[in-house]
Amino acid sequence: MSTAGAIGPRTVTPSTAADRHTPRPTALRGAIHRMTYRRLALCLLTGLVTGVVSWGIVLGIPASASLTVGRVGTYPSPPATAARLALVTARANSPYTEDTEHSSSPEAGGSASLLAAQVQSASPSAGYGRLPEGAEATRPDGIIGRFVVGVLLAVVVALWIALVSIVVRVHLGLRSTSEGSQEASS
Amino acid sequence: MTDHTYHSASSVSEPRSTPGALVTLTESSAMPPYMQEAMRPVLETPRWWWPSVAVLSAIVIAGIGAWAVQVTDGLGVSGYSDKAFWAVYEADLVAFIGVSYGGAVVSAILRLTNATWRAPLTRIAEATALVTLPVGMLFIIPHLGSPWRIWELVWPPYWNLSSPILWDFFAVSTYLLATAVFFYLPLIPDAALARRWLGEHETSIRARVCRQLYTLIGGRWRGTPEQSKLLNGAIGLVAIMIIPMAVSVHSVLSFAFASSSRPGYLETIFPVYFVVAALYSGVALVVIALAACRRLWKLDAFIEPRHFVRLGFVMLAFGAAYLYLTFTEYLVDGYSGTVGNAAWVHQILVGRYWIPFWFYFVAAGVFPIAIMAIRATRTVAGVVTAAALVVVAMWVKRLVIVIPPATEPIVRSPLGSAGLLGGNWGTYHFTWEPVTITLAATAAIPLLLLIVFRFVPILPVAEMEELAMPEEGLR
Repeated sequence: MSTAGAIGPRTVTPSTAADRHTPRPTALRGAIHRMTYRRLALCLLTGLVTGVVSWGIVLGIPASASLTVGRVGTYPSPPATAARLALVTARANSPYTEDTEHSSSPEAGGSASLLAAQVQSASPSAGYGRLPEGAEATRPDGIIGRFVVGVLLAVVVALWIALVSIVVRVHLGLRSTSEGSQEASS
Repeated sequence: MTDHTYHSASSVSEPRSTPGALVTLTESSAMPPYMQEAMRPVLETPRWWWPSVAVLSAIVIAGIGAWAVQVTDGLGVSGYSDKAFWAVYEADLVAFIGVSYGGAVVSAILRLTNATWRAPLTRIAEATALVTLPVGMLFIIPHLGSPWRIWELVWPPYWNLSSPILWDFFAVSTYLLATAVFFYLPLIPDAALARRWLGEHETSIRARVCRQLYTLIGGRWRGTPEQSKLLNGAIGLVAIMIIPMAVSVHSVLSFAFASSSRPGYLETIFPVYFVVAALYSGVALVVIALAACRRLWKLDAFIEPRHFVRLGFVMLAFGAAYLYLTFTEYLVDGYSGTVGNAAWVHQILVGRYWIPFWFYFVAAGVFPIAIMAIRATRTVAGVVTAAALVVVAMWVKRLVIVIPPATEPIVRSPLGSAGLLGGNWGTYHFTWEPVTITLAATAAIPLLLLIVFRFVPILPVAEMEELAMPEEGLR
């Protein structure tokens, strides 16, 4: 039987009933046999190195202020807890309060404070409050967070390099084999 | 007209001289028998093609016009307010990007498991993924409100690395590249075949354009064993990469919700929930795309009822998993009894959002299971009907995920709802702008598919050639 048209790892097509029971390599196994993992590892390693180096450069530039504490990692402070909001609301609506900051009179700016509190608590990111020291490190601006973000960026860069290198590799391979076959035929 | 029987080309054409070759292009070799079928959308212009393109283009243009109105007048015209800050565009973003996963992941899984019945499906599935993903990505723009700030997503000095939206951008753009590569690589041998065939038979201007395209893609393809080995290794590699990539992309998309502290969004189950939802609706879209292509280009001989039934079972598995995750989410949130969670669960199950939720439950939960469970309804029509309902119902389910928590008042006043900080639920009303934009995105998918298949063989001829012999052996 002709084996023309075989794709993937199968290079021999079973022709008898006995052969049909012979386990054939799957595409996944074939990919492994064809050292694609080595190629993948090489691509990913290249991307990781490039990503880590790029990340180091970004971290080394003082202009990368987006990673400094204060811009990225500001948390609502003080914590917008329900109890505090209830207190603020009650005081703001009380005609007896003497607290000008939270007074309900418009000229004292009480409504503005209330609205600010409402907006703060209605924010999807509200409610974090002040985190413990250890937990701060895991935020994107903490030391662990920076490392994790760096690794993730490196993975993204690695994937881009891997995908582009696969296409380039295929085209270079096609060109060389095509020229080789032309030379052989001539 | 070629023979519609799905059988190996090698049984009707001259035997190939090179063992292991995908398709050996020699001067004496005849074209595979299904090449003409695969090239029909490229070579022929059916009467319905131009009217379809005109209608779909008009809808897309109307959507662009609606978006221009929104840019001019602000997000308020689309029903957004401070009490409904996320609504239809976020749901559209999740739903459209979600449906793009089905094609690529299904194709990758079928390739890696070496499922021989996959052959006629892969090109359509991969094309569906390729055209749906950019359409979904575009929803970032109307969702953003200020489109002139979109460049801040791609310009590093403006990156906010603590924002899930930025990671969404990284993840989705990487996945788009992977999808494009996954569509491109299997096209190489088909482009070589199509170029040769066009060279012999077609002289029109479009044929010349196609020939240039095919030369660019498959000009170096000779079908030697070395080339087959190289290409198959690359396809296998991308198939391996694309599955975890698809899982991670929709997980990251869910972080935009799950990393907030708002009740209803702060759910640890969301990454898995979103991935399963994406696969569920994605497989359903593949079923619809297959049915449409089969009908429009008369591919009944290749896309058979068994393909629909098998995809129906895949859809059923994802649907059951999604139903279970929905039950788990609502049970845990409702049973915990915390004020914020209990409120939105109540609103979804029996409150103001009960209609969309129970529509999802019936259309995407119960109905597909019933269709696949009953042998009499396990037909092409039954599976396609179920798939159409699943796509619509899963979009509605995304609305149920996005809108109730966004409209829930998380500030509760001791003075009751009459106070300044009262607990009134926000309301989201659909207006014509988001409806038109959503319809335009929906129309863009078949429009792009019609255009893609004007230039690309709709059937993966080389792959069908390869898989025809094992299929015949099984029959």
